Amino acid sequence: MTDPVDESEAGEVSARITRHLRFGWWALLVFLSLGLVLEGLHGFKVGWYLDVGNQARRLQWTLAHAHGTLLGLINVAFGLTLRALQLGPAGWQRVASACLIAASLLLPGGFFLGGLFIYDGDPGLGALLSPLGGALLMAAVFATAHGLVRRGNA
Amino acid sequence: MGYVLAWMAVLEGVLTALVLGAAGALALLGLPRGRGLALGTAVVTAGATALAVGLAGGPLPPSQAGRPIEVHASGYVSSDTCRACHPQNYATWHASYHRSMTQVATPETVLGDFDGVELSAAGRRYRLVRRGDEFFAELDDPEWRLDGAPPRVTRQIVMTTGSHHLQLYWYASGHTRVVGLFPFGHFVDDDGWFPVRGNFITPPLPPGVKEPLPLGQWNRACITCHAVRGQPHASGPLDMQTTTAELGVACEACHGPAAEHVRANRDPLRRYLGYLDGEPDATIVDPSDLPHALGSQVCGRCHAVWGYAEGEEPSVQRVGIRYQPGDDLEESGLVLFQGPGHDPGMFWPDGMVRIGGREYTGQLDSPCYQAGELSCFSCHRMHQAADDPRPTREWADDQLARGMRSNEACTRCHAGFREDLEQHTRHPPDSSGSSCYNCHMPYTSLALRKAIRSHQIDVPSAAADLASGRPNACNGCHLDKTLAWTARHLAEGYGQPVPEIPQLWRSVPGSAIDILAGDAADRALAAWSMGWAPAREASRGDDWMAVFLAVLLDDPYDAVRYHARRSLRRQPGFADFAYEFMGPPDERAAAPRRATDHWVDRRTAAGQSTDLGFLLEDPDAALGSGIFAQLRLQRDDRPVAIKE
Repeated sequence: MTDPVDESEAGEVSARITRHLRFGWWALLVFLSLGLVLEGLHGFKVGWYLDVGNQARRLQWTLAHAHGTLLGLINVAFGLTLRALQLGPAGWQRVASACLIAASLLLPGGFFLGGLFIYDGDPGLGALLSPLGGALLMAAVFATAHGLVRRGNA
Repeated sequence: MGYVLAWMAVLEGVLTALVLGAAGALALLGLPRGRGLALGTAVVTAGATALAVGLAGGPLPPSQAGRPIEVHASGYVSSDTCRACHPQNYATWHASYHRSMTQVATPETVLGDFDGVELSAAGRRYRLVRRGDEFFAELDDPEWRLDGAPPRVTRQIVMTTGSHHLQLYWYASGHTRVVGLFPFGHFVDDDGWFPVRGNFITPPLPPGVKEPLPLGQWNRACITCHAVRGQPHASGPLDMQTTTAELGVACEACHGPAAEHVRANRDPLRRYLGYLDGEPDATIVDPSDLPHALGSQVCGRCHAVWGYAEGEEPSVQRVGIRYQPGDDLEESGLVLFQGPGHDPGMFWPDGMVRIGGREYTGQLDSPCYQAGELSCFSCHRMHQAADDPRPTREWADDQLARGMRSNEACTRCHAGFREDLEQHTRHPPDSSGSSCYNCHMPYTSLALRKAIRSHQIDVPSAAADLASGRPNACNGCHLDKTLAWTARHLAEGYGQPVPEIPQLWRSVPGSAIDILAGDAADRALAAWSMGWAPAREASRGDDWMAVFLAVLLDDPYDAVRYHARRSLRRQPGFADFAYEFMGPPDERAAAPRRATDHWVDRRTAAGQSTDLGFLLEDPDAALGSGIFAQLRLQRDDRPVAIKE
């Protein structure tokens, strides 16, 4: 049993699904490409990435690659979830969508920037974006889970 | 670290037991009674076994019996803690030879061959064996004080010192944590065992006198510089519960205890504010940020000639020296020795230090330090810079900063000499004679079986050479020239007054006098110089040196023979000359004649003269080329001990 939706509401949901599917696949492309770049840095033994003094950079960029890829998949999953359940528009969706998009930029972006400039064993200040992105991701996941529970109870 | 691993094993055993126990309980609940009981019993048994294995392998520490141990207390945290936040500095320190100044003897650290090797020297025999991962030496009982043959004992090798040129070994004495020095060392360059005594300019033992086997030397003395925060805890000659914060020269030897630094910097805000403001962190000492005198003292604490202030030693023998990085050395119960009048085994008569490893003492008397801001860190870097392209081993050799082997070391401050280098040096600008180091920091110190540059920056002086016997820089390179030749050139080029020079020194090259008639230290230094490439190039060819080096092949001092062999093999036609500097006495006695004949045969076959008269500057004087034979009979055989 699906919620009744009018045409404009269906358009909003459809646009959201499309946005997350596109965003997710492009994020996958970008962060899988980053993975290839990192492999290249390993392959050519680039000291700026591999030297022991640059281990903070290596860790940060590995995290950027891993989190970016994961978030790409989450965006795709979010879009497919909305489509599979044929959900109507709801406030939680807007919150979850915005938080997820922001998290997808901030979390891997923070790791990437944190590895660009490093201080000894510490990442650069750009890494401050990552915990913010992490919090937004948590918010997105919570909003989605909570929204789906409420829909199930309704 | 061993304890951490041991307790991890315990934890692993406990966790395994818990998981398996839980699995067993679930199996009992979920399966039919018979099969469940059997499976549960098996699982609980396995868990108990895992727990027992964990406990059995856990709390036993690695072999620490009978040797100084590491105790992290009094604010010290060890280099392992520093590693997490300072990986680059940790890695370059780890690659340095400071780290290996003391190591626990393990298959990874021991360089010498312990596979049943038998050694003998100075009336004693030794046998080295390896059992598993442990190393042992069979030797005469070091504590035997009675007449007659001492009983043989087996002692475990527990620690090593060094890994660059030489590795020494310390054995557990069996008394508390007192260790003794094994009398043979592994020489890395020669890849072999040689008596430690022969490494130094030390008078040979009289016939019939056996090699002493002292105990406690490391605990009482070496610990001061070869470990972090060494504390002998000596209650008696054979009662020492010696502890260190860390074996070897590790992070906190130079930066001081780091516990407060670690605690404060758990706060990320503090760390990032520190990165951004660029100010030194007040919770830790960075020697290169200290004023040049205090910063250099961090090195000088070990690289200086010093003694204990009156009344200080009893305290040092209990809890170690008081000095910590950033302190004033002389306010810390230590007395620095400087200038004339000190031990001739450490200083030239004019007060210049003559042993390697004591460079801070030389620096103290340098005008660049006294009137300027010169510090150890002006030229040396204790951590290789991340952008330094040199192989780490090259940097680690002397830990010079990038570019500091060149004149840039001096011309950064003395910029005027960049433009008129040739006018100042009176040598072609790209020659070794235009190297600031070669004239102002010549090789006049001895250590580790090589000559080392003086770190007392001064100007070459014939008068100082004459007065102190310390070879001047000019004759250290121009080995074929006399002191009078040097005095003349210094007068012409630099306006130095010409001193009154005895006839011998006006006619005969200083290097020849030192080799033939000098004391053991003079002979060693002159022999080393004849193997130094710039000197060989600057000395009218080098095909005359072999005949002088040949004389030293039967020298009574092991170290002199070593230098002679090393330099002789760099002479034309001598690369494969068979000679063992620690060989049997009769072979050594025959070696000078053999080498001389080889040289004469070569020269004759090539139609070259074998007359050394060309070396005499004043051949018309009473001194003919027979002077060389006469000088040889006048060798200075007074005992010399260079206390490097």
